[in-house]
Amino acid sequence: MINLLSGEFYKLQKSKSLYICSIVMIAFVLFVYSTLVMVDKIQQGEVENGSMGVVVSEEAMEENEENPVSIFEQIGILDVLEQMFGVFAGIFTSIFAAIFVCGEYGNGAIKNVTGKGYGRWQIFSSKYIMTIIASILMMIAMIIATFLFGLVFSGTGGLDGEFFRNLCSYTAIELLLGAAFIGLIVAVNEICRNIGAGIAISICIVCFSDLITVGIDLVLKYFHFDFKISDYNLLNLMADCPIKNIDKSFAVRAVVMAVLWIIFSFGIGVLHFKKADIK
Amino acid sequence: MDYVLKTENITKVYGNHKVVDSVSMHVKKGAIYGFIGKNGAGKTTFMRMVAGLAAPEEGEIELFGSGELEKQRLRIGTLIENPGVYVNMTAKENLEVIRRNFGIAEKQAVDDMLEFVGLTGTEKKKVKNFSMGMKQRLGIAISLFRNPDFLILDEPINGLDPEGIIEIRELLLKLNQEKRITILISSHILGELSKIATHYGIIKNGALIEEFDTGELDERCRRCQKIFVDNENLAANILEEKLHINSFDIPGKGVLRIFEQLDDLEQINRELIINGVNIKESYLAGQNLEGYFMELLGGGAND
Repeated sequence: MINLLSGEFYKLQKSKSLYICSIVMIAFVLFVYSTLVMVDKIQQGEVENGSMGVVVSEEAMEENEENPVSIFEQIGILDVLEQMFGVFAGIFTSIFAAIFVCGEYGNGAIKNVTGKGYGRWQIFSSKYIMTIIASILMMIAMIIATFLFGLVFSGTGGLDGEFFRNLCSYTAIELLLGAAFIGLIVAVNEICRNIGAGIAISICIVCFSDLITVGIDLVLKYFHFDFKISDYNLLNLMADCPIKNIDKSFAVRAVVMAVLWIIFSFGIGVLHFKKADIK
Repeated sequence: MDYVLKTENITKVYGNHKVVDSVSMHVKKGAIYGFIGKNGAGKTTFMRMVAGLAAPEEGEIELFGSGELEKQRLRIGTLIENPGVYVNMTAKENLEVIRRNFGIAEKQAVDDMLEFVGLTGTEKKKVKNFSMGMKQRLGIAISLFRNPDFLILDEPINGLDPEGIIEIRELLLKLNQEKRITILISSHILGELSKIATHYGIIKNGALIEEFDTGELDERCRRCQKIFVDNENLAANILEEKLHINSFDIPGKGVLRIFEQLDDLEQINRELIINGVNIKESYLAGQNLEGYFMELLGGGAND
């Protein structure tokens, strides 16, 4: 198993998709900050509204005229981080996971280890673990970039003990939920085994799973069930995670659901990998 | 008998179609076993089952005389269908992945293997820029990395130019003769296969229809007069007593194959007719390897 992990780690180091997805994710952080800078300049009247495709609503302009403050006093590092975890982290880590997992079937390299003395569960486990580790590393890079760009754009004001406590608790929960989400993506990609389909399905999961669960909630509500399925969906949990003062019940629910989803996705992946033929 | 691979009625079904149908194969230690069949005959599926990439529905596989397949498969190297390589890595990096996967401590093993398969000097070249022959050689290097005792190669010379085919042939003979590696190899290029194979297995529509060695093959392809008669025993007596021919056989009811006096077919036919044997058909037979395989496989498209 250690050998397999070592092989996976080597592949990870050589994986272009890891670097490209990470760079694009960091570029998106910069893009979000750049947009905020533009909005700030528009609100301050330094730049015309609509310049470079950035449009500030009339309502926001009026609000700012009544109470003129920099946008960076309203939107902090944690808010940007919330935005990144809400959408972009899921998209880029799942694209990477689809390439990393399905690539193995596309080039046939999975045949080099299957049936060579390792149990199939060991082969799947090594891929599962290493993909999650890589995704966590990507998210950590995104967190660091958000923090550093935040320092550049909004300065060091507000970086007190409470900020770091919130940053630590928020990112810890998001990383755990993110790891569970990537576990699910690994299992999905193990089943579909095709890069194109894997990426498409993964992006659909990121974009539509919260809509679907909210829809199911509405149906359940219609039938007077006092149960919200969205409370247990990983992406909903990632999007709903409070950036400040996370309450204990949310933290417990997030941790329990992350662990349950990891067990579920690992079990499904191992089961499929054990049963399915390698082509 | 010392068998490296022995299968007993192994069967694989996809949907309602039996892709491999009760195949019982015997690969002797030290042999180069040529596995022949048309596209879709079941060669690759059979090899995948032996390699542990697919599970048979029925039947048993024995490797090195043991049913403990997971353990015995450590002694196998495989190259099935296309080489499983990372095209964005170099050959050295590909072998480094294999070295790490199997916990081989000596880093030098990578360079040694590259040298063995003739891929030294490709350190900076990514596999996506390799020729077909180089990719096949890398695939063979991967399959050889753990010094296997048994090599399973599925059409390793497909798509190679004549030079590449010769290189692979020489490499396989070297492995078989110097390292005593038993090889199971499938190929469509029968002429090429006949240059290295010591044993053959013919698969048709999922079923193994024949197994034989080169001696038997030579015998079957031997030049002869083939006569179809109404009474083969009477014909045999006439051949022995009247024509003093001893080199003949009776491969089936009503059929004789005569291996001598092939320059005097009329005399043989005349003598048989005079002595009351009705001849339905008589012709000079004897074919090359390809002709024999085509006859066995039935010619035409695989159905």
